[in-house]
Amino acid sequence: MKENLSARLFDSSTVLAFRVCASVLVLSGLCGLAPQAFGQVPRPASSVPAPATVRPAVPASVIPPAVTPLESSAAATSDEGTRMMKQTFRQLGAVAPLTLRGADSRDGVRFNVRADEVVLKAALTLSYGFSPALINDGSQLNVLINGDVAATIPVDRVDGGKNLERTIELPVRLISEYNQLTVQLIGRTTLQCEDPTNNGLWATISNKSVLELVTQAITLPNDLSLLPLPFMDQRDARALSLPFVFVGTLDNSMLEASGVLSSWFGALAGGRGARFPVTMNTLPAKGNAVVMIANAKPAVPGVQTTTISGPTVSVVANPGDPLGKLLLVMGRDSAELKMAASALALGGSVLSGQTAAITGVTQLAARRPYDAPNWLASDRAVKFGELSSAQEMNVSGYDPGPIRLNLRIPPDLYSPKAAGVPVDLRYRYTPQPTSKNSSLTISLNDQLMKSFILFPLERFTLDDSLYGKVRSRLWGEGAVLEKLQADDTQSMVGKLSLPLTALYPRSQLQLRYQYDYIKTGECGDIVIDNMRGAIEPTSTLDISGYSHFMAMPDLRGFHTLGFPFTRLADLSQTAVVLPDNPSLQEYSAYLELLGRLGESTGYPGTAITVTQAEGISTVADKDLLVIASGSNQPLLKKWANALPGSLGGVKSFSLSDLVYQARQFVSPDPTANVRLARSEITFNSVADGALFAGFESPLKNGRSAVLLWGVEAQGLRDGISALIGGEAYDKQLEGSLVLVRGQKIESLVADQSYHIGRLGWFELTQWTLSRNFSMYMLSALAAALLLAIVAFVFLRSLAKRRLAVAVGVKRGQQN
Amino acid sequence: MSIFSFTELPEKLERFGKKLADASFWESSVIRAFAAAVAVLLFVIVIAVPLDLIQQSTIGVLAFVVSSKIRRLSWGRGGILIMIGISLLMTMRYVFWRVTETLEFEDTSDAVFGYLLLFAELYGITCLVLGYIQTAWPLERQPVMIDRPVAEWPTVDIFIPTYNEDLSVVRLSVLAALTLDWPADKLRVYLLDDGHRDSFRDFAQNCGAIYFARDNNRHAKAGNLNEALKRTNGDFVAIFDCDHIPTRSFLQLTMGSFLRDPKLAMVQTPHFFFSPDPFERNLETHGKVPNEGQLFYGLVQDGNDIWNASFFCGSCAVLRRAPLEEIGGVAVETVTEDAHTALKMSRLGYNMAYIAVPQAAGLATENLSSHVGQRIRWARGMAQIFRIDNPLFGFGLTLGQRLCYVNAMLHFFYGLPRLIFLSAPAAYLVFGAHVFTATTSMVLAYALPAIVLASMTNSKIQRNHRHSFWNEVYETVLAWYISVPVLMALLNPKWGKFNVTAKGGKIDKEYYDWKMALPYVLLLGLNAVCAVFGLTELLRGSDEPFTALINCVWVVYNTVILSASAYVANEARQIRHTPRIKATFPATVGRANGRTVMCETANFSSTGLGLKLPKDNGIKWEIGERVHVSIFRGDKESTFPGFVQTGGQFVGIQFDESLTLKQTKELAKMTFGRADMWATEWDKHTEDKPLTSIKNVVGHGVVNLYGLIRSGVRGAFVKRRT
Repeated sequence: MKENLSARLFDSSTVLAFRVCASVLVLSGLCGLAPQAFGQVPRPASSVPAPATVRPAVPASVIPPAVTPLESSAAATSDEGTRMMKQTFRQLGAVAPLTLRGADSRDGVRFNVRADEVVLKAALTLSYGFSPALINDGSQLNVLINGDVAATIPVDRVDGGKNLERTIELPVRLISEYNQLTVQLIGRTTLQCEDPTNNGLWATISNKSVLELVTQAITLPNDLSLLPLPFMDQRDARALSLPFVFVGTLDNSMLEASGVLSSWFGALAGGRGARFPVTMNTLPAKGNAVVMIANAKPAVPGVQTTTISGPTVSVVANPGDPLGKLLLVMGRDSAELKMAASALALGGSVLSGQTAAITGVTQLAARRPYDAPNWLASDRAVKFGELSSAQEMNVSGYDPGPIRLNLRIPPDLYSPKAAGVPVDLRYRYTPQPTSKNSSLTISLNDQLMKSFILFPLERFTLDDSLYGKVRSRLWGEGAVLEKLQADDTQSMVGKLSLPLTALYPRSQLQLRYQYDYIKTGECGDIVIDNMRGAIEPTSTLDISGYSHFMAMPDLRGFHTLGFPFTRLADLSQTAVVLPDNPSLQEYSAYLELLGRLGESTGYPGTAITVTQAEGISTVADKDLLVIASGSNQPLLKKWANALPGSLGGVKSFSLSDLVYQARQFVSPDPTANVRLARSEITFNSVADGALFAGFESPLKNGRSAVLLWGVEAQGLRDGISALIGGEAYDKQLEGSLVLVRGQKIESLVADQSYHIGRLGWFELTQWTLSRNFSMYMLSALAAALLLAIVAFVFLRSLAKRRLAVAVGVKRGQQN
Repeated sequence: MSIFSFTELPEKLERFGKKLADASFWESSVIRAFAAAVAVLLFVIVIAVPLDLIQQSTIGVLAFVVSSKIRRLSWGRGGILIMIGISLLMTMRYVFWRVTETLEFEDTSDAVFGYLLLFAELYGITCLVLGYIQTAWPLERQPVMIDRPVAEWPTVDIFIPTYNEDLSVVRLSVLAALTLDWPADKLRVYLLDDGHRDSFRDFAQNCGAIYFARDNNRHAKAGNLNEALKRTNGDFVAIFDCDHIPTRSFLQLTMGSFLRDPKLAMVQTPHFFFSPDPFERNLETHGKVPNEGQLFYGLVQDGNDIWNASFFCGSCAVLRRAPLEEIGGVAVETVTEDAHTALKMSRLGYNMAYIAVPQAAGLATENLSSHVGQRIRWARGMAQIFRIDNPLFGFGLTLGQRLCYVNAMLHFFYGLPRLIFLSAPAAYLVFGAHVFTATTSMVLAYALPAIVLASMTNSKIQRNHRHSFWNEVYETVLAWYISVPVLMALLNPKWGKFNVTAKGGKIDKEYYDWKMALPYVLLLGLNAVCAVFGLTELLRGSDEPFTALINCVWVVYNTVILSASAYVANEARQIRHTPRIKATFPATVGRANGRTVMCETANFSSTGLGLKLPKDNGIKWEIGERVHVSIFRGDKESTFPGFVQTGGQFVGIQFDESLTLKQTKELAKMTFGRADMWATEWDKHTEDKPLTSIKNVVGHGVVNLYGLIRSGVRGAFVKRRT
């Protein structure tokens, strides 16, 4: 069995490596995550031959060919532990060439150095061009690292308008862990008074410019207090690849314990994405790994271990690689192992020393729905200060670029009201003496929401009286002004509301200060960079007061935030159903899925449940995450009716019009997005790829199930890659049935068959009627008619009674 | 709608509706309660369902189509109730939406203007809903015959209180009261003179009425009546204002009900005015457009009757003495003693009745300022009752009574809300405030159906009692004047003072009452400013052209209503001291030469007659010729001496100044006192046609705006008269 697995792993490794490597490259290159290039990055056309500054000891051949991430980290740390990285500016985050305009302007990129590496040598190959209008006298390009000058490139007029290239050696001492590489243009076109807005003042730096770093790996101490280092380094922009090694008998508890850790690492890795290759009883030859042990006398080949007496966590060196570390998570049985994993995930930062015995994990208070640390609290108004630091909400300059606030919104917010999410914005700025167009623009996901005018000082002399208001009304000078603050910084209050439909599960609120540049005439332009803008941390955004209610299945919610599994951040209402006799890929897929869920919530899934088809009845009251490939999952046959296609022997898929639709726009009205299955196609030509299907759990109404099915076990990787996403993917998972092949995501069917969440009976009736307009019209008519008839009957009898009184005595006499 | 295209469908539906309403299961109170609960629940849900623009517009159009179809069918009360149901639905949808979605104001000035408008809207909607309840089912009570031997008929005291009115005004009323058809030994007429005038004492003694004067004038009319109550002992008390001339059948029509229902405490009949009120005179709508009182006496009081909430209006009513004494006589705590008296008796469980047959007629207020003064008193009084004896609280009233009384009071609070509506466009156009936080199209989709259906439904309910949009004019004129007294009375019921309504004067010259018109001229000015701002914004290119446009339309509407209102202050000439009443009954003229001419009357007044002769009769009349005019009622004939004032086909006769009391009494009996004198003419206006009506109002508005500007220009050069 073990050999078989290894053999399969070996067989597939080459194919796998190519695909993964390529995908990671394209992905990371496009999204600007600036990963290590693995030598696969095509060299920029204009790049010069390998500069002489590169140490001959590190020949090009050292850069390993296509390898799996697992192997690449080993290969990167060569015998000497040196590594050479070439990163283009594009990979470092410059999506477009850097354009410098004006007499003094700057722009740049950021780069980081791993904690377990030091830089031996750094060189910059700058590909640039500048304006022929620049004069030699005084014009220059400065290269700054963290604000210090690394080099100055003189500007020679004869080279103006040409594409130039120059390699500069950067002083290593300026480089720290987090670095800012800046290019500054000091431009002059005349020896007389320079007009800072002269459009002859420009230079461009190509984003194909290359930063080359040669690093030396260093050995870190075996100390738990460094966690999550070195297993996960925030400075490393590459996708995390951390092998998991299972030692001993693999049971569900051990898988659950591993899931806790993988979701923890997933949360730490964030947007980089995290991969967790799995091996059984075999340590990776190089690099870091997590070793899961459920045995009182752990036997890990090559590692000295003592008998343990309880849950224990330990860091040791990788016997095959002195620079690599192993994170040993141990218990005498799998229950203790789980305890150790939970302790690590929840309290990893307080452990210290090489080994820590976990004596107890306090029973955690049960998490409440929607309380994930990464999500916007939906039970109160959230202050901006909770979303970003005050420092990041302070900007300076005429056009300092947007202040970005990332929001994770529960995908199932529902409101019958048209009014959006209220934002109470408090902001300050330096008022200019005079201006016309200075503004603070608020966008949500690059859609304009509202623009506030930044009134200049002269406007504050306009009185706040009724007359002032009438004047501004007549001559269109804008809205009413508030009083100037004592510190000359205008503190303003702005209100806006964000339409709920524009508030995607992962949204970004962008607040951008833009100041008008006022020309004062020749020799009068003195640029003082005193323009400041700040968003007060006390500004709030409030999504409380919404009901949680959503039509399902909706794989978009699953893709973006792992919904509905992540509703409870500890995954206590999630059960993962593994196939019988799973392969290593399936274990890996399980860990990586949990990594994704952890990334969504920012919290380890400490209450995850793992089961198989035969134990399915014990998890009836949970949302199910079913992993399968080929025909190894008996549930697929059992639940054939619930599934949108027959998976297994003969493959058949339902198809809807969705296939023909190149949709970018997702309608805010969920019913408008429904594309029911219209035809079914049966084939077995698909050799690879994965399929996501969302459906209501056949075990319990209102519970959701998501199936990740690989045509073959390797296909699961495509599925996970699609989930991690990136710029290589132009589509998202959506609808109820999605096919993923390579980097193609095809949503086949969007069917909505059930709803999750709760509405009060009144809201539910409202909701039902608002969805069915003809029923609404009938109800409205019925309400009016019924009221009329009841009133008619009542008033008629009342009138009779009143008139009977009037003739009462007469009647009495007659009778 | 296709289902209405079948011609037989309305009849089918009507038959079905009748069958359903007559079904026996309605007799079970459980089923009725259940159906009511379901109806209300369904209603609430339907109101609260959020719809998008298209859906809301669709439901609005649908409601309009159904409602206007039903409006044209003669489904009677059922049809009206369905229209009310649909109107309520659209109105409540608007209210729900307005309150839940449009109040997220972004700054303080928006919020201030927005909440002011909301307050005005909610007031209007409350009155609309209460009005529906009040007028859903007018009882249309018929007079009941007195079926007892004359000996058993109760004794009735007629009280005619007076303070400062002319004897010429009071004379006819007293004489007509003396001629009421009632056994002479069971009828006494009291002239209650708070003016202590000898001429009144002499007149009373001569004609057979009893003259009372008291040694103080405490509590004005109420005190006067209470004093008389102490000194008399008739079983019933009928009260007439001194200028209300009763018809002889008054007691015959009203007393029957008292004999049948021992708990009945009061029967009220309409107040009818044979002279035009200032609105009718100055806007020249007399006889064409129903006046203010028409709605109240034609519909509201009749509608109140089903809820046992018709109330005493101070005159033309009979009250049972026992309950009146039980509550301590006529209420003196407020300046509307009449309504308060009725409220007090209702609290003790007594019944009230209203008979919609005019059995007395009087003079309307003579000019705008006195008209306004009268309404201020009513408004103040109602606000006082609202404060000191609120019908919503306290013992003894049914829910229907509480709602009807409250609406009677709330009605007079329209001053402030109406002023808000009249100046609201300024909020956006001048100050740039956004009073709704919603798109203009949404506002229209919600507000238009609510407004249009309410107008349609009210037009259907009010038929000939009120023509659409005229009440806007009536209320607008009074809005400014009553809002301050009402507010004061609400703050402290004791503030303000009583003022008596002067009547019976004449206006010698046409003049413009600038003092009265000033608030409306100012409001017109404000709307003109709004128009300037609005046009500026539209021409300059607005960010919100629709909002600006809607506000401009609103300004135009305000301008029309305001200019029609402001023109009411243009006091038209009122020549005759004693207004002529159109009436046709047989008459003969005995001429000095001994000949007798058969003719009919064209009109009459207390001092003369207009006669209509056949065409080309060839009779020559001498001005000043002495004649004897005989008027016939059935086979009864009365003759009065007089002289010819004008001749021709229409002959004007003036009676001798020296008519004896007996002759005057006879004259009153033959003219003002005729049983059918007013009933044939009263409330016989044409049915309301909203479109015609708005055309008329607009016509008046435009003509009057021109007139107003003209007299404004003239007024600037000529010395002002106030």
